[in-house]
Amino acid sequence: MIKLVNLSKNFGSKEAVSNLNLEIKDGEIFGLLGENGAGKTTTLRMLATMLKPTSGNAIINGYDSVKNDEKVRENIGILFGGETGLYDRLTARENIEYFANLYDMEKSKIKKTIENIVKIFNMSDYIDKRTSIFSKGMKQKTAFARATIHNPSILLLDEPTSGLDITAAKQVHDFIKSYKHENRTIIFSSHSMDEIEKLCDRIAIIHKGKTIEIGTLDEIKKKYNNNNLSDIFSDLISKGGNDYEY
Amino acid sequence: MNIKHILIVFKKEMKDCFRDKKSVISNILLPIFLIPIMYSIMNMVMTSTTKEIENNMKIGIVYTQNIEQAKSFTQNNIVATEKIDVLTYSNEQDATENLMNGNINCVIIYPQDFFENMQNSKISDIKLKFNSTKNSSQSAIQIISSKFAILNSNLAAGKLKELNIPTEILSLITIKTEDAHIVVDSGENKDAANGALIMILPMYLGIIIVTAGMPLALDLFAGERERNTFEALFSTKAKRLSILLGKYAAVLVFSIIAIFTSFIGLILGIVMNPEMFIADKSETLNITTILASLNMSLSTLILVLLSCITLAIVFGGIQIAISTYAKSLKGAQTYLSYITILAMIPSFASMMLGAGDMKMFMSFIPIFNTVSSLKMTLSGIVNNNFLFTSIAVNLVFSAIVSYIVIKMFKNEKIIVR
Ligand SMILES: Nc1ncnc2c1ncn2[C@@H]1O[C@H](COP(=O)(O)OP(=O)(O)OP(=O)(O)O)[C@@H](O)[C@H]1O
Ligand SMILES: [Mg+2]
Repeated sequence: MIKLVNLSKNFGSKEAVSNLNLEIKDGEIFGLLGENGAGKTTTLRMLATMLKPTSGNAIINGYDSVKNDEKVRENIGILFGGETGLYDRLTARENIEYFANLYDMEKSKIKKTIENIVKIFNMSDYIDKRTSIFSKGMKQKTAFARATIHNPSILLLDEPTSGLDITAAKQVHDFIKSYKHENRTIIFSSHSMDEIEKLCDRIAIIHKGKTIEIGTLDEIKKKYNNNNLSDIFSDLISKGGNDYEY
Repeated sequence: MNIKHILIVFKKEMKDCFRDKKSVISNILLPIFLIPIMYSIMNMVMTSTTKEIENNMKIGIVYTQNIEQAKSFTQNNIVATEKIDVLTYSNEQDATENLMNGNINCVIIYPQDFFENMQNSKISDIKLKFNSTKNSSQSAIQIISSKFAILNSNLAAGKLKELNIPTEILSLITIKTEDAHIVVDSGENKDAANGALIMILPMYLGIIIVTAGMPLALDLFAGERERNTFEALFSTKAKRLSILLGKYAAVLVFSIIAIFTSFIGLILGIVMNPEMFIADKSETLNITTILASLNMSLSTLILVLLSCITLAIVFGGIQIAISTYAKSLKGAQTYLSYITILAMIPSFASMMLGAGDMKMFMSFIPIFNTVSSLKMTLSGIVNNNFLFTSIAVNLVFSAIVSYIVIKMFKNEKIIVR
């Protein structure tokens, strides 16, 4: 379970995230929806312990992101940005193994897990090739495998489909769906209404660092009496967003 | 901090680095070949000038009286068996013009009463003229001057013989110089032939130590950020300090390998072209004499090595700090190039000073102190205070640099710029 309590982050005088209050249940796919600069990446970075909140707390599976940052990191996997950031002189397997080793996984376990991944993701042709020659889709698969090698119960994805074509994006959607099993939680940010509608159980719409709406897709559609998420989003944004209280 | 994580990061970075063929070739393999090739080319150019002058020396003579007499005198007494062409000129101006044009290498101007004076054992002033802007002319003037010097003493000796005086009086005093500091404890002479080695090696090593880690520091920090992998890496169980130390160790090992191969390259270059490094022909320079000059007591060797390693740690840290601080790979590259310049100043400064000129306060100047330590030890001067102070100074600097780098690494600005 993830709980954000009055989570805020300022960069100088700029309030990137202000007073975010959220609760995300185990097994949920949760979408963060917002335009450029809304504060999605900053929020995910605080959850990932990469940034310290200016005030408020992020509690992940009962661990505080500042006090127990190491514990938090064991519980999460992250995949940030469209650029997947692989080491291109290493093979896909070596990339994945490097992270697995840093998670203190046992050799035999690593081997088995990678075998499994290769089967599921269909990577047998290139698992032992250097990633410099990979297509974007192949890179994305490798990065996804790397982010989930330690089998985290929570996955944080920041715009995982940006820069990908339709086929590669669909692949990512399939990973996300397949990862949902076993009560695992996924939070991901996106600009794409389509993607959000297809995948998410619940969403939060963020505007200028504040949540302006939160709920399941059905709840939100019912509340605004509109079946088109894009319209609801544009309306809310143009109103500037009345502060949503959780 | 976790030793296991440090090792994992270290191993990965070494593997990654050695797969970068371009970097391995240009930083590690190239120095072994490039330095000897460079020296050989320089040597070839230099010897070809000498050869040219040896095979085709042309001198001009000016004599206003019987020029044929002057020519045959020159040929018999100065040229003798050498391959030197003698050209004659009736006036100095004409000869000078030809000298400036490079038609001749130097000019001998005999005074009007030269032969008359010789006959009467009177003093004559001859004038030798050369062109200082041409190496060939400088060599020619040296050869001709020494020929005249020999002629001079032969003439004097002949005269003394005529007067029945022993010729030894020409050199009543003979001089033998001896370098006092070269005598080592054992009383046995240390082979100190390698003045050039002592001059070049410390300076060269100083620059290499300070700059050798740069390519890896660039790739492992600015490069990691450019690839967007810091965040993913930091999200693993490994602590940032462990990641930093693994990378730091990789930079150090890389620079030590690069220092070592450059060192081998330099020694090869010297051994292959000894004549470039010897001023005095009585000296010898080969692998044995070089090794002999590197021969020092184990404790001194350890201290010198420590001085070098601590300096490498300081500059590895500075490179990492710069590479972490820079906004982009390009920016990091630019900032790092300033380090090279920074390294050259104290290294050159210590080249200018003799090993015996080092003062204690100089051991507090970074880079300079390590380079000077090397220079002193190579010259056979063992000054433990200087060595210890240099190491202590380097250690203090490494502590400061490490503190700054750790601070930078723990700061969230490393991810969000
Ligand atoms: N390091 C930083 N320093 C200063 N301001 C920052 C920094 N990082 C983010 N911001 C600001 O904080 C706000 C939120 O940024 P954030 O990256 O979280 O937005 P986002 O929702 O992820 O946007 P995008 O869709 O463009 O990725 C923006 O106004 C941004 O300019
Ligand atoms: Mg973003």
